[in-house]
Amino acid sequence: MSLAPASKARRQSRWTMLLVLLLVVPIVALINQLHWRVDFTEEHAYSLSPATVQMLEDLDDRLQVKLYFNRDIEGAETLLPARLVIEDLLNEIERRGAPWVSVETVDPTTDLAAQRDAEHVGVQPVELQSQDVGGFSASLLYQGLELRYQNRSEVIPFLTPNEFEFAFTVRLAELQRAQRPVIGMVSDEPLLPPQMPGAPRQVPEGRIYEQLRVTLGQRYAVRDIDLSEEGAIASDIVAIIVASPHNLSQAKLEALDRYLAEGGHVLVMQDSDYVDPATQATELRPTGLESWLASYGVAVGSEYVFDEECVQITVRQQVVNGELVGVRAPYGFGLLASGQSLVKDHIVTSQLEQVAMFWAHPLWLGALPAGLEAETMISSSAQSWLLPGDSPLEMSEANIKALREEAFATGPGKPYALAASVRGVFPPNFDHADLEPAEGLMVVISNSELFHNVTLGASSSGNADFASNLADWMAQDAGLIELRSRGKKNRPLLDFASSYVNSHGGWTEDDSSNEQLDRAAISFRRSRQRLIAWANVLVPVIVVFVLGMLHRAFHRRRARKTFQAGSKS
Amino acid sequence: MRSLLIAKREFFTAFDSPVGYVVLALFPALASALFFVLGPLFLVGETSMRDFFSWIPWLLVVLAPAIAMRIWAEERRSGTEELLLTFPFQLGHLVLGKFFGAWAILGVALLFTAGVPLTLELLGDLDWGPVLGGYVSAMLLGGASLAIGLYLSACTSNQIVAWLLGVVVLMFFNLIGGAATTSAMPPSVGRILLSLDFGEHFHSITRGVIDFGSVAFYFGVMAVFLCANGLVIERRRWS
Repeated sequence: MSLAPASKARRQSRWTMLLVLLLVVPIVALINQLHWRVDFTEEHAYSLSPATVQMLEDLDDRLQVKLYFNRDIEGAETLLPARLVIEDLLNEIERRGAPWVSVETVDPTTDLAAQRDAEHVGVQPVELQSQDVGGFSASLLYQGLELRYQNRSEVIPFLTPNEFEFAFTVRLAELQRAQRPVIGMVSDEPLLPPQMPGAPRQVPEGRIYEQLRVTLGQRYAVRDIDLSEEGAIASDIVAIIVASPHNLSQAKLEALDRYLAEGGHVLVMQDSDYVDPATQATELRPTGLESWLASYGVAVGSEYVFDEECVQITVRQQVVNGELVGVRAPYGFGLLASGQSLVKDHIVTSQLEQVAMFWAHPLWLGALPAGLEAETMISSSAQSWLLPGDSPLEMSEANIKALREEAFATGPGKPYALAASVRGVFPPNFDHADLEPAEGLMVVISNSELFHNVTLGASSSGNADFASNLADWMAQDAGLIELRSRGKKNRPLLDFASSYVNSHGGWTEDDSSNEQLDRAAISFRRSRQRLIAWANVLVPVIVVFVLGMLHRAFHRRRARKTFQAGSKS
Repeated sequence: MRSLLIAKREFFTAFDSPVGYVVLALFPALASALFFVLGPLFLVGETSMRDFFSWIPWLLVVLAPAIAMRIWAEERRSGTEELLLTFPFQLGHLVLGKFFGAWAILGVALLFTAGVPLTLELLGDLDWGPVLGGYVSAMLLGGASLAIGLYLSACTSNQIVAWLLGVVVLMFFNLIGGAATTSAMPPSVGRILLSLDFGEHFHSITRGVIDFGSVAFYFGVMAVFLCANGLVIERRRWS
């Protein structure tokens, strides 16, 4: 007995659709397992960097990753998309590190054993306060990570989503390395007193680069070295920082010369004076490196670079709209290198947003010995001038005004190099027995206050990142440089108020005109924001309305024509 | 090709009544108002469309059923469904054609929001990756929502009922992976619910990362509901 055609078609149709339904679920599940994805973000913020992938491929033993994470936090639901980046990247880490990497996620808020483990390894929750109908309530936010490799472990007590990959990769590098690389520090600072059991270590007042040591200490062991001692430059030292030394003796210079000629990596922060950031008092301080640097075609001028791209400092207080606000003025000796000033082709500076330099001197690169190549890393802006080395440095309104006038009077501004690297086989300046020449690296910065405790402590400047990038580059960990800057790019909206103030000649010394300008700028900002908002809301509505009217008119015309043609026939 | 013919007819028919225009005007106007007027864009001062896209799933909860509600229900109410089913089209062509027509309307509605990223580009340095991801994501989420809306429209002859059912079902799919639901379930069930959550997949793509798992999920939802739609029409055709 054969089926009727209608019944056959009906059955065929049903079976086709049921088959599709049955196939959809396994296909979707399979594609989900493959974790295929394309990252369209400008900085590839949600993809692993080549440095991390390389490290994962280099694994030769099991890496256990334990994420202490609670997804659902009452009152902090908006944080979840950013927090999920951590889980997302860990999935990719597991996939790229297969079969060696295993990732386990535990929730210490629901799992008592996980809570004990978190406490044991040092993963601490952050307490979040939220307000609801019944009053305030507190929730715990766990976001820590533990890595176990061979018989060692590393813990990240609290992960910041933006810096997750950097933190992970640094910890993984630590686990894969037998011991931390050492950076030698050469300076005239007082030595740290010996550690007394049970007592916090007192840092002597003159340790002006202590913050630099702390910054670099996250990845390296920083060791104070005395170049005059026999064997001071041990083989485990990957780079030496010469931080504003005072009259370096010949013996020390010879040691440094040999180290560089044999392929060492040296960072020199060189200028002829030391300026106290608090008082701006100047102390002449010849380093003893001048002629040695000159032999490699590098010289640091005694003048100061005065730049229009600079920090704004508060010079006095005034009343605006009934409130006491600080009047700010551009302090040209506190230059802010950003944009074109940070050379984009250099790996150390390419990803940096900004570097602040106070009382920098010009760096002159002359004829270099054969075999050496120099590359500028940072320069001042095109609107910068040189002022004499004995210029007054006070941050007073009158002095700033006088300095600007003096700078402008010297002619048109131009950029000056402030940091440069020199690479190649450095010819020795001294006779060394059994010298084994090799390609070395020297970075010279014409500003010794760049990594001062005060400058590094200002979180807004990128100086800490610059210091870390330099250390990584000199220690041959260039892959980490790219990682450090990821996800940190600021994308600010145009500030209408500031542009209004600038287009009206900027702030003046007159309080009442400043007050008027401030009021006008705020009003301008509000009106612009309102215009943008309502234009975006209303323009599509108007366009749709006009299209609708045209459509209606077209239909009416066509209907009329059809009607007229019908009545004629 | 036949699907495209039906899609074209469906697309232009939508603008024979004011409903099509209302949807077309309301979607970009609401999205822009929520982003520029009520949102914290100027307060935060960051050139990003993250907040703009965070509203899209909720706008689609209301607007996707509004686009889909009339597509089958109107044919049934006006009695043209029987005529349509006698045309020499395969059922698949009919269902896909109507779906593509509705999807095109949504595409045009999204196109009318293009002023938002262009404005932000003028005001700052916009990362276009997440913008591209956001629009792809909105189209996929819209497609899945429309497929559900079409299925519900095929189940009833009343447009209002179709719209209301659409809103309820889409609300369900947008809330299924939320903290309130998943925390009350065992972790394994919670994970399954989370993987079915429309918003979870949507936000994954709006970051600027096209995750093929999420893309497959949306196409899967479309396939399931369009097949179900076909089965409903098929049953009626022969009854």
